[in-house]
Amino acid sequence: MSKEDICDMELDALKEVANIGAGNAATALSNMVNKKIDIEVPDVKYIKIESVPDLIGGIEEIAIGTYFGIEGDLKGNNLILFRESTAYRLVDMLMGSTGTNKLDEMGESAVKEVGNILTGAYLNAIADFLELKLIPTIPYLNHDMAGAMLNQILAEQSQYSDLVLVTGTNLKVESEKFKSHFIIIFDPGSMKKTIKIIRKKMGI
Amino acid sequence: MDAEKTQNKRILVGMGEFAVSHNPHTLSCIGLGSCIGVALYDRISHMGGLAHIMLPDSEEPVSKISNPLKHADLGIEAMLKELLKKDNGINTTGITAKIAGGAHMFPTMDKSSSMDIGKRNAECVKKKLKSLDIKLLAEDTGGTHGRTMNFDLTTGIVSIYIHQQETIEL
Repeated sequence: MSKEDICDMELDALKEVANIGAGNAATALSNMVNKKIDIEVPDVKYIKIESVPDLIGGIEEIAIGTYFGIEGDLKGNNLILFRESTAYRLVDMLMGSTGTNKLDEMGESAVKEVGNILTGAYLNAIADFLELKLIPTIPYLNHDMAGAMLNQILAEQSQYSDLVLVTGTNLKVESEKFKSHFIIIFDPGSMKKTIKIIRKKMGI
Repeated sequence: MDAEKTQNKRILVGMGEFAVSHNPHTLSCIGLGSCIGVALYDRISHMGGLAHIMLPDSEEPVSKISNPLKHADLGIEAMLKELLKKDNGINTTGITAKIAGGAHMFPTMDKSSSMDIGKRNAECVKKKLKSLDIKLLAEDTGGTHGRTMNFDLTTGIVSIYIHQQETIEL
């Protein structure tokens, strides 16, 4: 796909879809930890794969990442990168513990569960809107350099396309800003499909 | 030019890029996952290059590829050409290689690939170096962890930073 394959209006529509998904994800997580969770309006960009690490920033920082493959009517990747302190705080909220400063097996499953909730809610919302079926795979977790986790997804995607649609947003828990990135990347075929549906819905 | 020569600079090499420089500078690839950093060095002239390879060999004609540098074969070729051009005194026989990266950060991500992309990257890089008669001195590839690679052009030493592990020197 090239830059011309998507116009500003369609990007706006995609942003709207992402926003519905993000709102749903925040509500789901909020219910789970019983705290107010806000999520920023997602930023949707269609950019060169090589410039994604700069967009995300902090690629050398150690992060905790959950990865889900997206299957069903659309194919893609979902990577959520939590700053370490954010992940530990989420574990505390979920397990009712305090002062978590490393991840044991229980902690890892708690973070995966957070990922599950966010990804599931997000995908459900966009699936409803697009009238498609989307299924996340089981979660995988890694605790490493943010850039290294992002690297593999981008490299795999660059086999099929030079540009990539990146949806990113930040979580806010009880007005305390927790740095995290929620990144969704659809493969080129799925992108085309999504845009086609959006065009139809928008009557263009 | 003189100031540039004496001041130690860290030059960052992003995905699908390469850089060629000389001592006392350091070339770095930050956060390599499945990608591979390929360091080429001429220890006589202290010149070297570092390429950040994203993908195995190119299968399509070059004209169809927007960034040939992201592929193992074309990226290494382009870097070698630039290195030889900048350093008139050397030929390929004086150049040696060290590589790092090619990890598998998350399992079973791309089901359409017969093998994980990191592993395929490492294989293609090694095959290309062999076909160019460049001796591979050392490597640190595979695993499920990321790497940051710093290539010191004064010594030719490649240091690899890995989270929660001791720094490796190649």
